[in-house]
Amino acid sequence: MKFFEYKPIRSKLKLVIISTCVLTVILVFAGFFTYEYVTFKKILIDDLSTKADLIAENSNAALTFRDYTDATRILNSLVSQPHITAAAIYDKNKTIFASYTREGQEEVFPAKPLSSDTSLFNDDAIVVYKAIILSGEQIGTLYLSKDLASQKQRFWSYLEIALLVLIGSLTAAYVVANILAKNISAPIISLAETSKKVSQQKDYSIRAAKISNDETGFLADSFNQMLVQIQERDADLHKTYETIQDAEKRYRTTLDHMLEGCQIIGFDWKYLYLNDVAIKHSRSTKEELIGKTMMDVYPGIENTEMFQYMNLCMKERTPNQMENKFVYPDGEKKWFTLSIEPVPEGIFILSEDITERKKLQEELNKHHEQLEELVKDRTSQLEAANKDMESFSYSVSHDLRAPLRAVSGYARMLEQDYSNILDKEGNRLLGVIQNNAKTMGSLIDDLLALSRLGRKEIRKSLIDMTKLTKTVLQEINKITSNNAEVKINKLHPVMADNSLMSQVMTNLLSNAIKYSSKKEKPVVKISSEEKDGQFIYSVSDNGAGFDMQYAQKLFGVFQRLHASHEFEGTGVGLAIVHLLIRKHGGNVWAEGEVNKGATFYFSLPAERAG
Amino acid sequence: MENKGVEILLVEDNLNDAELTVRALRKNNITNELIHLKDGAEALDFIFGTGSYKGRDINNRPKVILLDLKMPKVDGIEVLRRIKENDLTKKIPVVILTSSKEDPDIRTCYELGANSYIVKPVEFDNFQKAVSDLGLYWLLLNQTTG
Repeated sequence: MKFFEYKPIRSKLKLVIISTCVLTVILVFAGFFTYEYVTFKKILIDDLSTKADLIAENSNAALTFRDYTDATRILNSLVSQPHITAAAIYDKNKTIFASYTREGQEEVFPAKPLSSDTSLFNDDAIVVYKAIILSGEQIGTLYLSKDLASQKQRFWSYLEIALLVLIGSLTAAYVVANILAKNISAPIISLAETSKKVSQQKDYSIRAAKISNDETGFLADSFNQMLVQIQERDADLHKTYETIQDAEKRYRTTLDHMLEGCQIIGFDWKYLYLNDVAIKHSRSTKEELIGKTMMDVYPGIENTEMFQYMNLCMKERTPNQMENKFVYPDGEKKWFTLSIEPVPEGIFILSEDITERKKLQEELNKHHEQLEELVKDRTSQLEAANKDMESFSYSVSHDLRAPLRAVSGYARMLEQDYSNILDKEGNRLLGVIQNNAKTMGSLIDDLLALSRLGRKEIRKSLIDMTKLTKTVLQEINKITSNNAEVKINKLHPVMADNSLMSQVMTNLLSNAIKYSSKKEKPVVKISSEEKDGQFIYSVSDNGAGFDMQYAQKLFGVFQRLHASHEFEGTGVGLAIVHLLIRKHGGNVWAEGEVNKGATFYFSLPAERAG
Repeated sequence: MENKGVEILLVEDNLNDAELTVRALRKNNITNELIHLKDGAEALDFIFGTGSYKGRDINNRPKVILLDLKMPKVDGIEVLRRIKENDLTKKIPVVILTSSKEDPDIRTCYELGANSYIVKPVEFDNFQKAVSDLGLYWLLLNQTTG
């Protein structure tokens, strides 16, 4: 069957048609022969029996009268029958009475005839025994033998015909089969060729031709539908493939051009991929690395800590990051950060040369230490200076006040004990001495306050500025009598030092009240607004005001725009405000017009609680 | 040396301030026996009956000590500490005299057990009032408790 398997359908079809045809012819002939053989044998026996009957009848008398001549004559008449090879008449005693043999024929007669009517076939001849009956009594037996040569001849000619018919029908079948097979197989072959073309050229746009409307036509349709689907899927696949390839290309390009070293190590520790930077890091060439194992390239690497991490990643698939000091064969040391990630091929190592960074860091650390040392030095110097300042302040307060106290005290004593001796002018002069001593005392106090506040540490908390301002106003009203109308708007709460803000507000508010005190209806307003991430507070009055060209001088220490006989003061209050607001990271400024009033502003960063 | 009846001990190196202080007390009719000592060492000798005050009956304690802080030799803080360390003297009220309320020593004084302090104002009238008020207060207090 193997042989059959590889034959084309067309040959198979032809073979089927021809073999069917041959088989049919053979079967027909076989049947025919069988029939012929059976009927012929019967005809032959009947024919020979009839002849035997006739001869037996005729030889009746001859045998009865033992007329040998007549018997022989009767038998000799069989000459006209060329196929009768022998004939014999047996008498009652079953001995041959007369016999006939065809010319050229050696006939051996059976010694004893079979008694009854019998016909026998053997290979070459047919033998008939016939009883010779006279008045119901068998008086002898006739023996007839006929050869089958003519029958054989006839059989052979039959066979010849059969062969001719077979050949003829074979030829006819071949031709018909050819035509039929061509018709039946053509669509299949076309389909097969199309599919072959498709599979060879990978061209799914080819379509099979529909030649007939039978199953092959259906097959062609199905095939074409399938091709359409394949074409669609192929297109999808192609698109996907292209996308993947693009991505792959992009990744590879990215990897290739990364500033970090990238390498992929296989499970067998062989280098599978290295980008240029990784190659540079390894100080080899691509050819020296790809396909080699790490152990080949760096003998003894198994004993390093770095390798333990890589091994861990290789086996447990856990990513790791580490900083590694790498010592090159020439002894040079470099620092790398390594990021080890598991990938399907093995492990991926991202390496970055941080030697420079390390160096810088070390230098930076050194600088940092130096800086800290310096800061420490400076801090202690500053602390010392602060201490000096404190003792200086103390000395100032103590030592400057003592003589002042003596001046003031003794002038007072003079006034108390001797004013009756002094004239009016003398008493006035005593008064001047006392007033100046008092002023000098205030100056020292204010200066000390400024110095103290300047050194004070800020402790911020959320301050309700409205409440603070109201408290400050109450304190001011306790100390000084005034008839100012003070309007306090709702103020923004702010993160600041409570006591310092009280000081600021006290100074500004008392200034406003003081400088508006000579007006008939002094009005002081306090309000606030939020602007550019800052709270801006303002204290305005309708008092003496100031000339804007001196605005810069307002906040300097001991700077005054008014004579002290007009308005009392040492010129330190606004300097303190300026100092404290600056300490909070804010700013102060003022607007004013002579005799119309002034507005003092201060801003604070708009920090809220927390 | 006989020191019977010492009620006010003024320790002050500045003679002007001392005179002003004495005058302020007198002006307010505080006429109690007063001793003025010119430095811390002398004050300690007086209080504990040593040095030039050897033999003084130290049980005769002043009713109030007005103590200046800044003095040569032994300063006011040291004197205060010695007074408050000693069981015999620690009950004597000590009023610190200082030139400025900014004085960082004020806190130390309170920690050591100072009973009060007076800022010596430049203006005589105020000074006089402050000195007399406090002196009087402690004199009276000591009389009631002692």
